[in-house]
Amino acid sequence: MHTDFLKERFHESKDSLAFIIDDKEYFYKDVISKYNEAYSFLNEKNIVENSVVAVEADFSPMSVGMILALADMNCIIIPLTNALGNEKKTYCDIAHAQYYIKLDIDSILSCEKLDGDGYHDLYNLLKERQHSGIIFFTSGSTGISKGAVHDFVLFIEKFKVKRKTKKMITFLMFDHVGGINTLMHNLSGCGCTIALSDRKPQYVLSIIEKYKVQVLPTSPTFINLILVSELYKKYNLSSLEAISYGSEVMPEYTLKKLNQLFPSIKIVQSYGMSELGVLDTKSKSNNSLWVKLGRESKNVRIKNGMLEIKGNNTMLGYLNAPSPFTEDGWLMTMDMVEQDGEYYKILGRKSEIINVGGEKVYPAEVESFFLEMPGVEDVAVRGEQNPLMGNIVFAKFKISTDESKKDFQKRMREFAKGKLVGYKIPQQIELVSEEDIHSVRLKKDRK
Amino acid sequence: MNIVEEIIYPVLQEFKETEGLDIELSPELVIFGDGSEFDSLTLVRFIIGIQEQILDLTDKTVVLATPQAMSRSKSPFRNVTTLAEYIEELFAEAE
Repeated sequence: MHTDFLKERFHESKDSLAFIIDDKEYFYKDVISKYNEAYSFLNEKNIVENSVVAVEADFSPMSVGMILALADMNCIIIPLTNALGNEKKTYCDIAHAQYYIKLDIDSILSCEKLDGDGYHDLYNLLKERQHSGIIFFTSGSTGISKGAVHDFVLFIEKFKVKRKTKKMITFLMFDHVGGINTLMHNLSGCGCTIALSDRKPQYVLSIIEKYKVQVLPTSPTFINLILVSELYKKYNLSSLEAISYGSEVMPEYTLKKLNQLFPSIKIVQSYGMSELGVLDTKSKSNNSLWVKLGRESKNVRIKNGMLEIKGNNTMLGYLNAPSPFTEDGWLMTMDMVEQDGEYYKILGRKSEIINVGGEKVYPAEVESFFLEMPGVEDVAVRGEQNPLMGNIVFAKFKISTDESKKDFQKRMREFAKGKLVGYKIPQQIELVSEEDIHSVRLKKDRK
Repeated sequence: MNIVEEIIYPVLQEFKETEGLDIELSPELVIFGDGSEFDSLTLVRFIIGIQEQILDLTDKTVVLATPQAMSRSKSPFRNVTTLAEYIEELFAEAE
């Protein structure tokens, strides 16, 4: 079966710690027993091969057991989390899901039969291959979520090479390609995953201190939050050996400050997306935004300033959107990049570039600039349509001062004068609270 | 409400100070067009400034730079007087 290589390792490491969840420890023998429980359950419920099954869960022995059991039965898995709200139903509809299974840490709570017919051309391809699938949803710039279908057997293939593991937090969620990637990485080397019930900075830092976490995969937004709040001073973070960041562009200033404060922590950039999985990367240095992408440079190219990637780990296609592949099979990532030899620098999503009267503005560049301004805790930049200029730069600021909008705007313009070209300086601003500047996933919310 | 005195002049005065514009406040002051001190980005900010001033004083949300306004044969942003007339027109439409 597809996941035998993992289960064999679990047996060998049955007494090793697999999870810490809400102060409770779970071992690899627990994961094996949950796999068996899930496998029997699926059979009892007559869930047959190639079924399309949504699984609402968080990282736990039960969810791992269920995912591996579904994979072995060649089912198509839709990982979901409770945080999704109404989108859960939308995703099930898009995917024509047939079953909805809800899990908690160590049990199966419910299994509901849905109306979906489990049919899609891409599922047929998986059926022919006798492989299981996994679907990750991506919000997309149009606001309509797109379902990216992956061959799960190919997705886990790279984890056959046993990974070195450290005590790691799963910061990205269960429904996120990066979250599943972190999980598989840890399972591959039988490492310990520390699940988070909450992603508030205080809580995450307290978990790092308490369990001597070694690796923190996170987002630039989260890093910025712990730096500006100075919360890092209140916790002992000396166990941390590496911080990896991805999912959005890292502001240069945040990276610089992180390096200054934690010179002994290795800081690495990851690159992944729902359509692609997560690439193996190598940052040029701790304080560099330049990164090598993928194991082989022949699988990466730039067309019209945009990154294109070829490889086994890319998705099969979207359930509900036009193909983002070129005719010769390259995935158009829609990420604008610069190249320097083997290294790439991610500038931002093509869809997020703001065209101000013909001039291009990358939100990440403007955000990075204003993060250096005294009193600015965070900033999110987007384009706003304007009949005079096509678009203008609009910025949401979270500030630590009690200035009025007018006073702040005045100071903001003075700060930028002569340093940032005029059309990049936000023409319209809004002062917002912390909740309005990042999502529950601690990713910048530019909307 | 005196639109020129209460809405337009205060914003112009602020721009005069912060942007270093060499302007004299008068009803004939050219805002956008021949002889204007405003470049396009300053105009964008000025229009947003006027919208915010209107919101502060009247609680009304108006959008001044619409495609319709831009395509009028006589631009409402020509000078202070035409802008004031245009704002008055928008107020009347809103009622």
